[in-house]
Amino acid sequence: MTTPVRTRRHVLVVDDSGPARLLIRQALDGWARRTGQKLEIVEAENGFEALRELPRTSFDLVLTDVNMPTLSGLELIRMIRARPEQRGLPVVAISTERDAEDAVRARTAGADGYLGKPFDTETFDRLVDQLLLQVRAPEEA
Amino acid sequence: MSRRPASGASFSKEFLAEAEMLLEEAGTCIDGLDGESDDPNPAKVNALFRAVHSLKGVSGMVGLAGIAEAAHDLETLLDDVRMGRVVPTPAALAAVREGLTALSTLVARVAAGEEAPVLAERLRTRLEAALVTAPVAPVAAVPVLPADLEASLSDYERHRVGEAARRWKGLVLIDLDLDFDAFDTGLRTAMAEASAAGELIGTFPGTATDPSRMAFRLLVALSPEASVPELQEKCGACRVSVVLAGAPAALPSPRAPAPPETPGEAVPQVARGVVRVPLEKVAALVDLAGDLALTRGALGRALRRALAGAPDRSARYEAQRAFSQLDRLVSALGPTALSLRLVPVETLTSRLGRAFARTAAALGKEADFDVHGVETEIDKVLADELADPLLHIVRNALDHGIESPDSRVAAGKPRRGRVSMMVAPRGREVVLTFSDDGRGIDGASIVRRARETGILSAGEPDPRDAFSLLFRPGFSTAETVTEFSGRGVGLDVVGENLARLGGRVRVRSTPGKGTTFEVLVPMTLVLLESLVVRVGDLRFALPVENVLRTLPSRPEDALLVDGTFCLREGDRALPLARLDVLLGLAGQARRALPESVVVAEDGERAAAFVVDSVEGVWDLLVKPLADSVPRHREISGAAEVPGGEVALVLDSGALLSRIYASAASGRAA
Repeated sequence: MTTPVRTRRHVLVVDDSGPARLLIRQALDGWARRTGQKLEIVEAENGFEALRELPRTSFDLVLTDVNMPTLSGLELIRMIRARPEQRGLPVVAISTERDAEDAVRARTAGADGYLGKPFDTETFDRLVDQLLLQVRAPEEA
Repeated sequence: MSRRPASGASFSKEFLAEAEMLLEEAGTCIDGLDGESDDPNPAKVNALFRAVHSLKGVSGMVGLAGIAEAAHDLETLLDDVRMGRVVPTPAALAAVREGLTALSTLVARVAAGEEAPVLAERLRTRLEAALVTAPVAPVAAVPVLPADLEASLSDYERHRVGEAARRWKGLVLIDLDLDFDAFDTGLRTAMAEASAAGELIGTFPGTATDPSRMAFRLLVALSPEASVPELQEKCGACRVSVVLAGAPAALPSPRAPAPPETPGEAVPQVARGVVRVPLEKVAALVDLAGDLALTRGALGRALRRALAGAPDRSARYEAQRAFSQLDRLVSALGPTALSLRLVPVETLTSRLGRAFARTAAALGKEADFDVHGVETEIDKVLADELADPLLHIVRNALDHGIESPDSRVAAGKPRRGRVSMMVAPRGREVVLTFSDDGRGIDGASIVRRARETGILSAGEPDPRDAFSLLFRPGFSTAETVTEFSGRGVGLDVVGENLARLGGRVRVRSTPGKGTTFEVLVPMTLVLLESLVVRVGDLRFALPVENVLRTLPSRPEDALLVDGTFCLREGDRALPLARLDVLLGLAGQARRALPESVVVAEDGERAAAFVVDSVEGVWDLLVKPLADSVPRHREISGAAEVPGGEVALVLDSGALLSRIYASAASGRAA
């Protein structure tokens, strides 16, 4: 019972900036290497793509930029929280460092976690651990 | 745990491409903002903010702290503009441009292979200068939205809703229930149509009819030209419901509750409940809001002083953010409290109706009085003040307009005459129209009469609007003096009273058919807590918000610095001037020696001026000056002080500029 569940986990990364998606992908790959988990990463360039991707795959985690044109990350989080089948899906809002207000806004909109760019590996890993591995048995947590 | 992720060559190329794209986007946005300082396009401001915000994010991620820092400074200013805390004055826009240029330079240096340049300090200083000079726009309260929607608004969305309400724009919700396969096309179309019809404030989840469908709800502030039925048609399969009727002509009946097409769960319920509140309680609330504003001013000054020396930048930032928040809340409270003063115009119209019936009976006229638009709201004080001028207009219509029953019949008109009153909001004004079907007035005969009586002097040309002569003192076309009108107190007093309330009146008439009086008045009157001072026989009022302190005038407090009189104020020296000299009143007969000094500030500068005495602090109803009063830039209006005297309201910004200018010229001499 103490072995972590080793299944492929699905993560949706939403950001309108290519470099930002790349960095998040790198951070996720790093986490997967360190924890020995298998990850499938799906990228979306905007909120519309994200809304389209969401019902297609049973995602385990969503990482979304807050600040995107047309449909913002906060609007996306509101949509996710409004759909019953996605209500429990962990969502991390990503915005720039020092934006205490963004963090509060993201929490209000229903995000489970918040990351400020640039994030360091430790903070990133801790947050992803928390949100992706919470199915671990209690004694291991 | 390095904070600087490895940046390979390909990565920095991607960063540069992105940074250049964002800067170009920002440049396009600011080009579109020039000349829009009054009501800047919120979508453009927001896009500009977002571009700079994204640049900050990307630069931070690739470890370019210098660029991130500079972008952060610029972003802070843009956030203030976006949230209405700072007006995009030409100076502020110039600072934004300068910031963008600085950022482009930094990015170009990275492209040239230099490492993480730093420029933040200078940009910050320049931006802060622009911030201070920009006045803060007041933010109105958020009107009633469906509770779930209201709860999920972000603070920016909340701000935009308030702005829309403040500008009398209509608010609508577009509910979309879309098939999953085509949802993005449907959503994009509706979003584009919403943006075309005004401003798309936010996109929210809707309630889907079944789980395989996607439901959205768009919150839109309509521009005055937009039409709800047209929007409904263009968005396709959606439901458009009106949350707040704005003032635009496109809405069938402003202020009327919009009947939902289908009484379903998604239909927003606009609160129609009415609570009667005594005016004193409202006044107390308004007072409280004023006190809060004062405290905010004092706190702001203390904060600025304390922060100037604070070494911890993030603490400084947090404190500034917290203060902006307080500032926004306090600014919102004032207008909300003031809005409680609005009452339906019905109380006024029913009084006019009674007077009409009495007057008709006394004059032997047969006529009906009908009223439309009684639900229109108007300031309580204004409603009271309007009663007399409007009574005069109504009596006038009966007395001079409506003919006797016999002559009406002889002229082929119905025996009973009719006076119709229409009340409707138009922008931030209320229009009250009185139309009668009486004998009308002939413009040419008004001019003739004015020539005969000397009201129009020989050299004076005919006015473009002959009916404006009706409001000249001494004008009367009445052949008989009746009990009710035409006894000296003529339309000139009506015109004067309306001007005093910031309103105006226009007349149209067709001989034989009838006459229409159109009265326009502002919807609210602004109460300004003011310090009233006396100089000679004149009284002046200065908004309390701009008064730092008053102190007795003592020669030992004054000192001469560089040939300019200054007031010793702690370790500073403030320019000191005499108000009577500044305003060119030095010739006024003096009753006593100046007793008091007022220290005033406008958020940026402080200066002191000497007055004869300080009379007190009152909430004053400020009215614009009639055109006949010679204008001083330093005087922004007039107000009646308790006791019936009139005080001239000082514009603190212009007054301080004048004090500084005279101090500078004193030095030059």
